[in-house]
Amino acid sequence: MPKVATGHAASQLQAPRNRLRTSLWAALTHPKVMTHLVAYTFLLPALVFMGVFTFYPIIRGLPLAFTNYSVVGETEWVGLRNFQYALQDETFRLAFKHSLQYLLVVPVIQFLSILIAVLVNRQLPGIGLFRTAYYVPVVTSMVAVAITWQWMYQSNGLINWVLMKLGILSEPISWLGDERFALPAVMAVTAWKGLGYYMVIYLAGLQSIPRELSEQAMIDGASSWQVVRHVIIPLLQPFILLASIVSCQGALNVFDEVITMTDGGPHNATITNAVYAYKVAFQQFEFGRGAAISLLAGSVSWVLTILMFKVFRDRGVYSL
Amino acid sequence: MSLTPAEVRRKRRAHRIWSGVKTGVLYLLMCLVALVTLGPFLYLTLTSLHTGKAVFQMPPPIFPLTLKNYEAVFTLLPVGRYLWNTIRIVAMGVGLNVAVCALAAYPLAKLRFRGRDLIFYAIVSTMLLPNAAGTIVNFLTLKKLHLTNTLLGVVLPSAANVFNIFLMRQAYLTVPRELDEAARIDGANEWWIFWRVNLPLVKPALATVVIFDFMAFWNSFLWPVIVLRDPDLYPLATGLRYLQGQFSYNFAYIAAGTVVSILPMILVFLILQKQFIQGVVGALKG
Amino acid sequence: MKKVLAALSSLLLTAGLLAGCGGGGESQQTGQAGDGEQPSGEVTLHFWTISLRPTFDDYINGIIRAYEEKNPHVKIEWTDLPFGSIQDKLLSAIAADESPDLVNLNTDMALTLAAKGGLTNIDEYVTPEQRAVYFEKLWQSAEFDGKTYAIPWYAAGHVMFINTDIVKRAGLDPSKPPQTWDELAEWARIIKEKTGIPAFIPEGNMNRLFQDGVPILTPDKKKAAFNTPEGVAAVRWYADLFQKGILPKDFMTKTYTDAVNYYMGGQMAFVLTGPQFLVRVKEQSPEIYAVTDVAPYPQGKVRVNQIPLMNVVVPKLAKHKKEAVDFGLFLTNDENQLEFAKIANILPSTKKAAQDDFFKAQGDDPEAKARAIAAQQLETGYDLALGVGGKQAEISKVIADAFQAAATGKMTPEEALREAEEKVNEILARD
Repeated sequence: MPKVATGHAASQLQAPRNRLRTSLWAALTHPKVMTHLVAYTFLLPALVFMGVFTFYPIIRGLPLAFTNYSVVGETEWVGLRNFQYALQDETFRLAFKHSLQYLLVVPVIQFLSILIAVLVNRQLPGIGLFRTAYYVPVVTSMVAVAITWQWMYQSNGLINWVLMKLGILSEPISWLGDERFALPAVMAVTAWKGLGYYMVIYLAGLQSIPRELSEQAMIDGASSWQVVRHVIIPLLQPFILLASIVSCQGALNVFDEVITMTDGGPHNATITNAVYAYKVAFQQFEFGRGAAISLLAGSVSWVLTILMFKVFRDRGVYSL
Repeated sequence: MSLTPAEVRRKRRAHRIWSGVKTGVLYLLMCLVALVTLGPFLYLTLTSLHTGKAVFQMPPPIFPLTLKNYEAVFTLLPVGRYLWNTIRIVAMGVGLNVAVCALAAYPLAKLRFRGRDLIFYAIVSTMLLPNAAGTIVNFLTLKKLHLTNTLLGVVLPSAANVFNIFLMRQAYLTVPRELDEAARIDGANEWWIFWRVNLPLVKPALATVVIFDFMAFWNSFLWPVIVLRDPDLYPLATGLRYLQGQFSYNFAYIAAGTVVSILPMILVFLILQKQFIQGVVGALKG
Repeated sequence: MKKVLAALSSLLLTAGLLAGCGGGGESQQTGQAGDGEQPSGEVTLHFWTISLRPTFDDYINGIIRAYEEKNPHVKIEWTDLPFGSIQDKLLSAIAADESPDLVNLNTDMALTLAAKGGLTNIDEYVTPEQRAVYFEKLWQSAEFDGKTYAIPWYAAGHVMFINTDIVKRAGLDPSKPPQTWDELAEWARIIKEKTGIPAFIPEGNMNRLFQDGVPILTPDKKKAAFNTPEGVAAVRWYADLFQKGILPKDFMTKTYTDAVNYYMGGQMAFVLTGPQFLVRVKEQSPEIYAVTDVAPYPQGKVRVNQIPLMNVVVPKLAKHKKEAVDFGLFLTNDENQLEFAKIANILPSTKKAAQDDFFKAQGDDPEAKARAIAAQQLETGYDLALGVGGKQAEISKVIADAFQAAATGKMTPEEALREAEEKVNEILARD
């Protein structure tokens, strides 16, 4: 590094060589310059990779929303036509509705994972095994999960059998084939797969709460439920905020679950924003419209995230 | 008033029984939850060990068990080659990612320099921006780099992962600054402080990154299809898709293939489980 | 634990480096084989198919060898893609100017791509004689704006499986199966009455209209054309099955897979599906297979049959169009298709292949019977593609909704179709 810099400087300044070298060396070893050098050297690989494979595609992709790019045909600027089209498109409205409905997963998953985290936040023999067991769905690929659940959801599959044995159902339901049940069925898989993930986040939260606090409350005669309600939950709020933001983003942009289990069907009953944007781009070859749809859908998730920050901040809670 | 020794003993016993019951209930609850999270996989595994009518019977029979489906999958597809490809992809991917992210996160957490916040926010903002034509643009870039149809091409686009950088940054923040300062006073350079002081203390976070990466690279199936022209280079997750062909649909085979693809992932997680959960907990607690 | 972690990470790193070298080396080799400069006159064709591996490796490789022997200047590189990844792969390749020359696509995708100007007009490379080898209706399936964008390859027919045991229990004669939709509905009523078993899962969609000769769109594809008395009658036929309690309401949402599963469990009298599902019944439910007979698919007011079709297309950016079409014709010639039909249980798209003895019913074997029935449908077969690109999915959903609205009793068949007509017109009016 110094060599290159020397050569460059020398050609510009024409100063006596050794004097320059000492002064440059001094400049380079100056703590501030040194820090910058180190910092950017450390960052360089990441910046290069992200620049090429993350920033560049985003920058290339944004203008597509204002074109009729289709890969195979001629490309022209179309102004705001793609956005107008999306706003009038009934399927987009449907996808939008489903994406919002998908948010219902968030409270369910947060509630259940807090309970599970409380359950496993103790020192018992074999507790690691249980935590692992809860985390297995998280590490399994969505393709494998989809195959498993499609199998379970079949008309003559395990779920129908269990529900009928328990007398909850009198006739089997084609969970993924029925427009009324397909979306909730897919949402249930999202919740199931995510439990372990959020459990770990809340485990982190619980371990940051001093034990003495809940013990003190217990001594003061509070029941375990009261301790959870009045001591643990309030202290968990920063973690709930973080988990909820992650979870909302996941719900609004849900893609893998839908594409692998129902492909948006039956009759668009499970189509969501991300799935629709993908289908418009890659199956109808309308990349411009696909980009416009992702932008419109994306703006909602930004608004929601900002809103959540605001709500929590008004109550005095900050994210981590 | 003090208790007689007999009373104390009785009280202690009552307490012991009570806590025993409580522990029993806890274990019961935990087993129930485990049944929900693992049940589907156990059911799939059971199915993969059946043939013929037993595959479809309800309730599923336990016996007879057979490995025929596994044999069939291994003869139908070059599972060994797919597995070797996967291992190479995962090794490259995880290696690169850990190195790149561990390096990049360090200055973002520990050093004060111009442009730091800008870079950090730019990195984080990419998580929110849509990337509709990302696959196509990245494919074109790889073509220019002459990296299509290589395993390196499969991993490069995800060599730097935003989430991992974020996670590592949080982990470095938990390492007390006094340690850095002490080393600096002893005349250590930044590399030494990074390598000898910080890195050993963020091992749990590294384990987390390893697991997340392992998971992502192990499970990716669409991108390899696009990058690789030669199906002999396919990883397992992609290759197993051939089982879901239009003519050869046999659920027992698919189940067996799926089990084969899940097991290594679970194994790695079991090994790194403790560090992993510590890693996330540590990163978030900070 | 620390040691394990350290060992594992160093292992990963070294393996990563090694793998990196390996990957690079391979790229150079395959790169040269694939794209390298070739001596003049030599052509490398890139041929893509959808999920034929590993079952048909030998068959496809055999065809390629035979073709390469006959045409020494042509070399064919075959890539089979797993299901569901062809679109992404195809678009990336086209964008990178690495378009394949011959690609296996279903009719729907072929038409969507053609509408965007992405495919070559096959007519320009094919003589009328070459074209006459194929069933006319199948060849026309991929017509768009008066041009043909695909060579039909293989097809799947439709038959009706009959559980003769259930039919006999209802006092009906399985050797005289119902031939029309109306007869089938009547049988279903009797079977339900006598045995309590639901008879079949009916189609309530665009196909059902087509079978009664109801056009879906006007010829210029600008307006809906299905709101006719015949259309209303078809919807009423469907609605009555549910309104009169012949079928349970949840059957409206059941799929083919459900139907086959019910059938294999002896819980349904008929399945209306492709002959290829017989293998599943045979392997997975031998008891039911033993009492299974096969009959022709019930007919509507006109004799047409919807036949899902696989094609081969030549992308516009393909480098060797002439050779690609030539190989496409070779791949789909009588001889090769007949061989494929025999190993894959599918239907050929060429006339002569379909006349082979293989498709003549011999004895009572349900599979042979099913094959014969399906093969007869080829004359009247078509692949239902409206030629309106991505809007087809929306239209098909609107029509299916109309059927269901009538079946649940929310609307009369007339109201349901009138509303569907308005919606389809709206969809078509959008640009």
